[in-house]
Amino acid sequence: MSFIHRASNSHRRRLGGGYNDLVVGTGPIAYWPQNEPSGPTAHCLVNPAQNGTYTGVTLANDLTGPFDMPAPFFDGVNDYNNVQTAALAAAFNGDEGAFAIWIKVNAAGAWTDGTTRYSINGYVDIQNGVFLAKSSANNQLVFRYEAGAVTETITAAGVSSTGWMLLGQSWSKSADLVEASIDGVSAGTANTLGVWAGSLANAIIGVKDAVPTSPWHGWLGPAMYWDRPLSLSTFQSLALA
Amino acid sequence: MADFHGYFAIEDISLNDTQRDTLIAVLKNLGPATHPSPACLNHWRTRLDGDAAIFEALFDDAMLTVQAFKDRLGAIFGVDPATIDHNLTVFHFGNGDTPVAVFSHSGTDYLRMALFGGPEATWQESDDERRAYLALYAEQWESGG
Repeated sequence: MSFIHRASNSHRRRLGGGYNDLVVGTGPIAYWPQNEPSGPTAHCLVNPAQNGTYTGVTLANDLTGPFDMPAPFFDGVNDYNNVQTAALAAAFNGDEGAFAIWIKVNAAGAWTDGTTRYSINGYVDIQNGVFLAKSSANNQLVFRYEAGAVTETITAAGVSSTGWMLLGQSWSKSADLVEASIDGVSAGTANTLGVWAGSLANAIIGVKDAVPTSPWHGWLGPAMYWDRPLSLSTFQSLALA
Repeated sequence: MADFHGYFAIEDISLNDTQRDTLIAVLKNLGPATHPSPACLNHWRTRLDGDAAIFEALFDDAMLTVQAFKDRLGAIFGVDPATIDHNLTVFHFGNGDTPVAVFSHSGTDYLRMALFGGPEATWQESDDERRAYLALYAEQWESGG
């Protein structure tokens, strides 16, 4: 039995390593696989100065997360991964950028629980920020980009999957475009972007803020930020690798 | 002594700020100082109005008894814990049992405490009760997004 267990773990590490290489190859400014088996640290594979800190999450709860990497469980009440660091704030680009996260809800009922639940959130203040969340409306995802109090909201309705999904969003002030995606397929676009102001002050995974409010209920896997917009084909390569 | 990995809530009924801050500081220190699993370390969530909080950790169940809370409140009030009264009611937020105690002194209610799922609950059972409780009081606990 122990031999099988070791072999299985070795297999996962190899697969995880392959996916990590793929993500890092896209040149993110931050990448947290969130596949640690224990400990408080969420390691950033781009810059250790951007390591996050877990609060409450049950690590490696799903051993068959994206690409067979173990993934942590967020209990929907007080679990999160705080990834705010000075290094991330310095690297983050509010004018041109992208972010993505693997999500999986606790159960089908989560899509109709009437509660807003954030998977990833990065913001300066209430007028400048980005987040990906499950809406309080049934079976709906929300993709948000807000700059200078000008809000771009893209929603995806009719979502009911209980499997893993890669949510992504790109923003470009120069192209005047925000585009959301699910598994690399466009979920909508928005334009007439405002002017981003300020430096990233809060970056967090699994909740809206560290109070915490609007907590995710289910699993969250690899999460990443870029300082340039990503094409749908790149998101697709990360979803289907 | 036994381990209880689960959730409990407190609600300030009429503590003053100093009393509440003292109690919360004590409760935040329950549970192991170090543990390989973040889920077993003490962490909490505050209600939007700041008057209630839910704690989770791998607790020593002896720290969550009615007497343990009477001892804490007695120390905070500077009175004999034997003079702290309580009323205990069992709620069923989901399919489980959640004992809820209201602590009073000299006829005034000061604190409500709920042990989700009861002391014998598994983490999942405590979580189920906690989740059902939050669904019932979602407006007080959830921001609009």
